[in-house]
Amino acid sequence: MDKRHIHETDLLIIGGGTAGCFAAITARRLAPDLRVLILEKAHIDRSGCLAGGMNAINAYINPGETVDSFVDYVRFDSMGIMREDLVRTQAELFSEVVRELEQMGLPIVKDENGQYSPRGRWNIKIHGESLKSILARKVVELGTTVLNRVVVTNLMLQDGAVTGAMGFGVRDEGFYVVKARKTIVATGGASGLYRPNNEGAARHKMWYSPFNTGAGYAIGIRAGAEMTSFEHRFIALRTKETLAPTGTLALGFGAPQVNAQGEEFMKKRWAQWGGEGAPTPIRLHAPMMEIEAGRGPCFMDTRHLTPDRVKKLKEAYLDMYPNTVLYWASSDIDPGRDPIEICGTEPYVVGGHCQAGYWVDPDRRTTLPNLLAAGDVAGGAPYKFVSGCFAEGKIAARTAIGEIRLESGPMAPLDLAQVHAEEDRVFSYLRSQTAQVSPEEFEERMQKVMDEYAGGIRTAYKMNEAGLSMAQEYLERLGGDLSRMKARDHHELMNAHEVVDRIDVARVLIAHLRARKETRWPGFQSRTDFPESDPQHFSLFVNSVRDPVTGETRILFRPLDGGPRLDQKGQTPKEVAHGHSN
Amino acid sequence: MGIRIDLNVCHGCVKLPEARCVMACPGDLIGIRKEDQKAFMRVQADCWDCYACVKPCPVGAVEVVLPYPVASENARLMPRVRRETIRWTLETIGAEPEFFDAPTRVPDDLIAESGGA
Repeated sequence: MDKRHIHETDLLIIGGGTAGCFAAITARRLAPDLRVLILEKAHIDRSGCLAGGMNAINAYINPGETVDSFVDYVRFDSMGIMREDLVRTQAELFSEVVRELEQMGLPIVKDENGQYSPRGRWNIKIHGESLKSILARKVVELGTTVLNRVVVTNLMLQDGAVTGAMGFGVRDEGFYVVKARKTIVATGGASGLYRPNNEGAARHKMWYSPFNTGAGYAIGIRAGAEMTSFEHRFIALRTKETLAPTGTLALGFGAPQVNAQGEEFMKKRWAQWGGEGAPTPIRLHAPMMEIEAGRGPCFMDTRHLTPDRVKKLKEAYLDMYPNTVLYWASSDIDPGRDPIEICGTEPYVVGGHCQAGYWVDPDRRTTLPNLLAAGDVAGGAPYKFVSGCFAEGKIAARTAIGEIRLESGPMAPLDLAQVHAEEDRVFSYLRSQTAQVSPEEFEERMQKVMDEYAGGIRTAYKMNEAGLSMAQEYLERLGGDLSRMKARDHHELMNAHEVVDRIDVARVLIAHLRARKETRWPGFQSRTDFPESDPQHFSLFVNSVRDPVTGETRILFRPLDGGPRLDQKGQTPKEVAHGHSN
Repeated sequence: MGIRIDLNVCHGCVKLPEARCVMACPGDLIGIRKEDQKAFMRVQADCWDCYACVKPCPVGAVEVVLPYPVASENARLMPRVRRETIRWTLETIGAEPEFFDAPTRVPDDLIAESGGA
């Protein structure tokens, strides 16, 4: 029998990354008398998206801009689909959270007047190589209990309300049960659903953290939480091979996109969309179209940079994706002489760039009582990036603390049957005597299905109903095959649960992709069978709920103002059901 | 390849509760070998190249090596962190070394020189 650890806390935060750390800091400052506990899969010093560092805050209200102008911009960039209440509430906090970060010790680049140095309309430059460690130390200093190297595998539920979470220790191999009055899920989005750009020995050379595997989505999906906008996938325009952000090149160093003939195709062919300032999906779609027309490969043209500026460019990447500087040196690429080749990444599901995630209210409550969401797992609020994740962590923590203050009475007793069942499920992949398929093989199979049938790199992100329905069938088969998976140690057990989670996320993603019968975000969500946008019928949110008993995923539609669901009004599509649980 | 660990230099941070690189890796990819107390990489292909393990190593024993399908090994990039600065040294075959300095703010116990030895 594995050792069982039972903890009790007032506020549980699942995931000690960008949003989770800020939630903990806020909660401890607001309520030093309440207990706050973080469950973290890695070690909070260097976990999540910030492990390698960050060189800019990409959502900030610079001088001359307002919260209103930010909201308008996000609506333009997300092509009409977003929750204004969510975007607005986080934008109102950008200034406050960045100031707090500076007080914690983060170096922020300033101009000669001592003002933050803008990089484009919504960005400021930072030296965030140690941003994550700075945050983590504040979390600990304020008295948060942090349990590192614990993989959360499911929420604990009583009568539909969340009463905590369960998981296992990767290092100590124990089973963890945390009882909590309120829980904030802040685990980040999902990479690795699709076959990545690089394979084999280079498979984790990707942009989004390969360790963000959709656990936060999966535990909510399995518990019956309402999810939104999974079909608004994020496919990032990135530097070839090292998949580093191109915003550094475009905003920081004025590099336009060019094709193999040197044409600035954004200005030439996409001027009506905004040229170089077109919405993010279009900036990915346009080079894909150039390549399809035989005018690729495509590049960001950095050849105007002087040696001094090239050095500054390398310094900017060293604060965030150092391997890009190593790659340029290894491959004899000099940005002052050679344009930087670009590509699209694998499709990610992420609420911080696009808006896939939990359906939340303005206070970041999910549809499950006692559960809140913040950061990349929270939906409906695109363009949040690092500062928006901080803001959402702060909002969720305020809400949670407020609710804890209002509620009295004892915590629910532990439901031992639920604990036993989860413990059996968690360790089943270690204990199986007959299973032989490795988590790696399951991962490859899932990624192959998604890549080939659900709009991956292989089909230049394009998809249709026939392919999506095959993807769904294959994923269901894969889900039914999980008892064949074998983990040889606890590291592989973590990998096994990452695959289980990603299969659940991928199935919901497919249901969403099938439900939006239009092409709303060319490049990110290109339907060859519905190639145009259909604002009359699809200016709405595609949401889903998986029935925890039957495993059926039900699609529902909600209006853009976040109000009650649209019940087959007028031309609105009827709700549809997809798939069954195994 | 993900990282290379110089076993002649690595001492496994035996005086710390957990080796710096083992603690830092966001993917739980680094362990300490029982037989000689030196660090080892579990799955090279699962490395994200984030440098989280490289930066705090007290003896500079860890470096990132790009996998061959991505690039030949013609250069070496090593950081050196101090309390408020990070200096990167880029050594490229056939070229003069380059140095890059940036401000940072490293928690005291993670500064390379301060401990682990």
